[in-house]
Amino acid sequence: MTTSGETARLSALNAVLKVLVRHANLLQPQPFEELADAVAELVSFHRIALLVPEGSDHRRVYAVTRGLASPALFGRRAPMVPAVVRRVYVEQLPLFVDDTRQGQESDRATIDADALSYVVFPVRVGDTEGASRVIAELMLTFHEVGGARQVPVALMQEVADVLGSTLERALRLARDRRLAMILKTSGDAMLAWDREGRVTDANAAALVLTGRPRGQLIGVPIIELLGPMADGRGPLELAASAGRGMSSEMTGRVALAPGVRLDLFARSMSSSRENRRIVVAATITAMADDPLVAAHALLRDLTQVVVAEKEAAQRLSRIHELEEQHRTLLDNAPLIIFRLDPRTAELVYLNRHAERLLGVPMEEALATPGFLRAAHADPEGVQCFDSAVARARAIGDAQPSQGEPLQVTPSASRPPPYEARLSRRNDDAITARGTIYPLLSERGELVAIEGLLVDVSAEHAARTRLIQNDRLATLGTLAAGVAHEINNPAAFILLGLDMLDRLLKGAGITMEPAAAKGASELLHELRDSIRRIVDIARDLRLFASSPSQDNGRRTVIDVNRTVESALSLTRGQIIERAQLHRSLEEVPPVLMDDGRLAQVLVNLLVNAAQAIPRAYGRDQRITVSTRSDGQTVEIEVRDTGVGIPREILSRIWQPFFTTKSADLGTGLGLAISREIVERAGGRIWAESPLPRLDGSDDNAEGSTSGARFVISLPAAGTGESEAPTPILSPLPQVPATRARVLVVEDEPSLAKALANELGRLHHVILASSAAEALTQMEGGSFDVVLCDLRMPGMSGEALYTRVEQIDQVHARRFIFMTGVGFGADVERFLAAAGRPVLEKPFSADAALEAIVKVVSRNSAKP
Amino acid sequence: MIKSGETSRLSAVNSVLKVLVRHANLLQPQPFEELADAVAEFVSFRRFALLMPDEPEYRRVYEVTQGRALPAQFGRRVPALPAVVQRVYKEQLPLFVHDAREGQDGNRADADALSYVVFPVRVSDTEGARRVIAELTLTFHEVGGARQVQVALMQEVADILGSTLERAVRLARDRRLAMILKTSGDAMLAWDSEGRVTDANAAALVLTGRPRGQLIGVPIIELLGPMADGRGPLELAASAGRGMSSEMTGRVALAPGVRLDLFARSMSSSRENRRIVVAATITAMADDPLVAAHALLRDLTQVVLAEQEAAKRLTRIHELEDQQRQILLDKSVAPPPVVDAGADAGPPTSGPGGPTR
Repeated sequence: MTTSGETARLSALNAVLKVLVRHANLLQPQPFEELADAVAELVSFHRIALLVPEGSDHRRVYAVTRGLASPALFGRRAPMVPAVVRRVYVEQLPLFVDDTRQGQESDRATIDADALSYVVFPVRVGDTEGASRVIAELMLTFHEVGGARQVPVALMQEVADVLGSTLERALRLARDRRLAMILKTSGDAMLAWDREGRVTDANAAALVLTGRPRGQLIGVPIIELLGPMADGRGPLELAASAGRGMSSEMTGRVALAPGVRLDLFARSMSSSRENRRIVVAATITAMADDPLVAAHALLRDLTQVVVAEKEAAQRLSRIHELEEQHRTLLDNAPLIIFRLDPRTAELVYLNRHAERLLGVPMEEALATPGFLRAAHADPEGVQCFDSAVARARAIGDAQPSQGEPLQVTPSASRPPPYEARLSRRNDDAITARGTIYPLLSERGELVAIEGLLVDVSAEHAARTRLIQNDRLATLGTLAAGVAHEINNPAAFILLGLDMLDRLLKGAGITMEPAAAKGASELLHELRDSIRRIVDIARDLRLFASSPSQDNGRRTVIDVNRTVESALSLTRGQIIERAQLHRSLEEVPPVLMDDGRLAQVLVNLLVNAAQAIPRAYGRDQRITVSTRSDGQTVEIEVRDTGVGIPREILSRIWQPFFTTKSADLGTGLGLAISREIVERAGGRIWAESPLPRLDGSDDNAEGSTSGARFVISLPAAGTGESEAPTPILSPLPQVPATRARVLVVEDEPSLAKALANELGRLHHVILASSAAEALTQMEGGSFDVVLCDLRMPGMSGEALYTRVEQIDQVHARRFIFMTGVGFGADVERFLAAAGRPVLEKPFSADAALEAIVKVVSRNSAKP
Repeated sequence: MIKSGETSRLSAVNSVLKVLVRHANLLQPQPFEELADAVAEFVSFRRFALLMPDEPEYRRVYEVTQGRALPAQFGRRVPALPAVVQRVYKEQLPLFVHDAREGQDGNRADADALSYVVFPVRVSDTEGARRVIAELTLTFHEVGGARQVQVALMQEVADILGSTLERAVRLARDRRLAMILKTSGDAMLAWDSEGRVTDANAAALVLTGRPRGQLIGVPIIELLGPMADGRGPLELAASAGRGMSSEMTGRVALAPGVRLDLFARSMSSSRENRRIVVAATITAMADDPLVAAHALLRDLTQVVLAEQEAAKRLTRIHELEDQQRQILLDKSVAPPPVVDAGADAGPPTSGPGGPTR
């Protein structure tokens, strides 16, 4: 080659090289056009194209046509041509086609449809061992047949090889540029620093995150921006650990675990320019071969994540708090809450209250098959439970299948509640109301059966009592009527018996002593029997009267004296079965209906005696004690008898409930006793069994021993039982003369008996009706008017009112007789009238005493 | 062959140019050594250095000394010299120092630099005006050694360097940033104007469950499902690129709540497809023949799980509050609805309303 030829070659090559130096990536339109211009200095072609393989079957075509703008699809995809592959890629030789019309090749159509000739050069790169490989093809096309022959092959191959040395790098740089552009505009911040730890680069997001313009960020020590981790390692240490062991060809990268975070110290974007701390996740990349950058950190702002984590933690904390509250509520709710496995109906959950209520440890209950079913005391209860569980299952089965919206168990289709008795360990059974329902998942599947058992014992007892009270009130009303019918003849019989007794003891009657004694005892027993009949009727009447009706008749009672009276009445029954002990402390009086406390005590003492079988022997005892704390007075009757079984302890107060044979009791005694005590504002309760006297506690199941009944009454003068000032009655005075007594009684036999008995001391005139009495009173004055309250036609009350209007003096001489419960209206009348009352049946002596009192009182008045 | 002056010049320049063609970024040790070797063909220097301003008062020094290994801190920082600033940067003329011992710039008067010359490395703007972006220094063992330098040829070499240097700095940065993205935990998928995948980073291979060979060429719409409004990756890229000039790139980052579905192959042996929710940032490229758009995809599986967990927790809170209200107000009211609760929700494990399901 001549010097001028060499100069031309060098000059042409220089032009191509300068294009390549100016443009790192040829595969863009402008650089490629500059390349085409440079090559055009060497050879006059029509089109120049670089074809880069993409996969095994395709190429990317980058082409420029002389005198034309770049095609729209610069970089389009075209199929690979086998002949080119063979010649150019495999043999690494140029492919010349001098006349395309001969049909040797058709692929140039994809490059230049008008080309009549073309040449394709292999674009080669050499590896380190001197071998070369083809990475692309450089094609020149010509309009003329044989045009390709003008190409200086050696020079063009040199150009192609120069291209080869840049092409792979160009592709890589193009990719780097794209990726870098993504990162430059990324939402994640990028900070780079050099080996001295000074920031050398930052992307736009880093400027925003740090709150500094680029000029204030470059050169800043990275440790002023990125704080250390909890273990003290900062960005420099992390980069060092990332880069450890790297060769000069490598880069090292350390991505902190999601939980490991750094603090970024940023300037506030606000005017105050204060620093703020931003938590970031960091990926730190160490660079092995970069003089400017030792490491990069890619920082993701975790502010929102931290806020979300705090929120999540707060929610979890709230859940724990609510669940704790929930558990406390469930455990302490006054009801049994349970959950059953829907397949086996076995317990999977039971709240703590169940443990307390049923007396069975929760763990034991959960481990006992069929525990809850068995807890139902009665077969009816078990049946209710089974039925409710079956219904809950059936409702669950009827819910929509998967994919359909959830139907939270509608209340209408929930099994109805039921009531049943639940047995308790070491305690009485309770009455519970059960509700059992299915729990459905969002997909409508039955996941559990839940239920509640509410202790309704009190409600049940109240309801039962209400029914009984209603029944008893009816009974009381009935008894009042019966009492009226009984008391008149009873009064007559009693008066008759008095007369008979007097007759038998009269001067004209002579009897054998034994016969006389027998007759006297018979009369005594007849009187007792009549009184017993009357007492039964009177007790029944108690249920017909309201508590307020008793208040007017309350008097101050000496408790210990009443106890003594009751003991004397029952001594006979007690001493044949037990020793009697009394422990009576000094106690304040109580305010009660006179005689009622004694009635209660007699009842308790008789029960105590009957609870001790005769066969028990002489070491049995009945103890009566009284005590007081000043506010209340307690009377206790304790026995060592057979005791009361636990299961009936709560039922002994029910009317007509008795464990005695029919000849020993009606079952009314304790019910009446409680009524009396409660009406007096007190309480009465029973306990059984009791600790043995030797101190042992016999609580073995099925065994009972002893009982104690306690009456607690408010002391008179405390609280509601304000004691009225007792009214002292004047002593009865025997009138000096026979009094004129008008007996107003519609019952002829009773009237006659009264006339006989009273007639012994007084002048008695009978009136069989109120009207007749008025007539008698118009005819003359009477010292005493003994008047029945309930009479056909005008009642005793109406008669009194009439007399009071006419002659108040006569009105003050009235004594009323009655054989029935007073009733509210009569109570009010008697209270207003202030007249004495004789309750039938009464003895002749009682009537005489009343007459004496009235006569004496009236005679004392002016 | 005896070369003429012009041939020699062209040959020397071509040697330099070939180095520059081979290496896009000179500011790395090996390319810089190759450049020094090329220059050594026509001038016998002791040290060859390129100094680039790093803030006004400092220079980054990239240098090679003949016969020595590269200094440990290739690219170290040194203070700028006022005399050089004046002569080279302001006057844009070479600075010759024939005897450094005379104290003009004492700091360079070491054994390797008894004489030196500094050339301005210049670039031209579009209007033909020149500015200096770096300085090229050759040092010599001998006093007066700088005199042997062919000033015109070395200035031509310096100017050729100038034409690549700014780009080299940019390319070096691109390379670093690209490297970060290549190794990022976020997946990157690129596709061409026909919507076929042309590039993917390592995370994308993991996320899609496909090797690179099976990923390149796949239509992007087979990988990325549309949003709720029906717009898929192609439409999103088109809207990002709308109105872009050839100098621009467009980017559309979907709002945090807006997500795409990525259809990935399971990594398990069954190779079944699975759906992964991703947050996407889609970047349209205006001037790239190979890539019409990129998508940067962040796997939101954990986020979605966390959101579901948070929602469950909130539901659980409402459920518990309702249940407690019911318990407090009415002990026999309806059963609580059954809602799955997270395992973290804690005990009770089997109580009514408890997380048993």
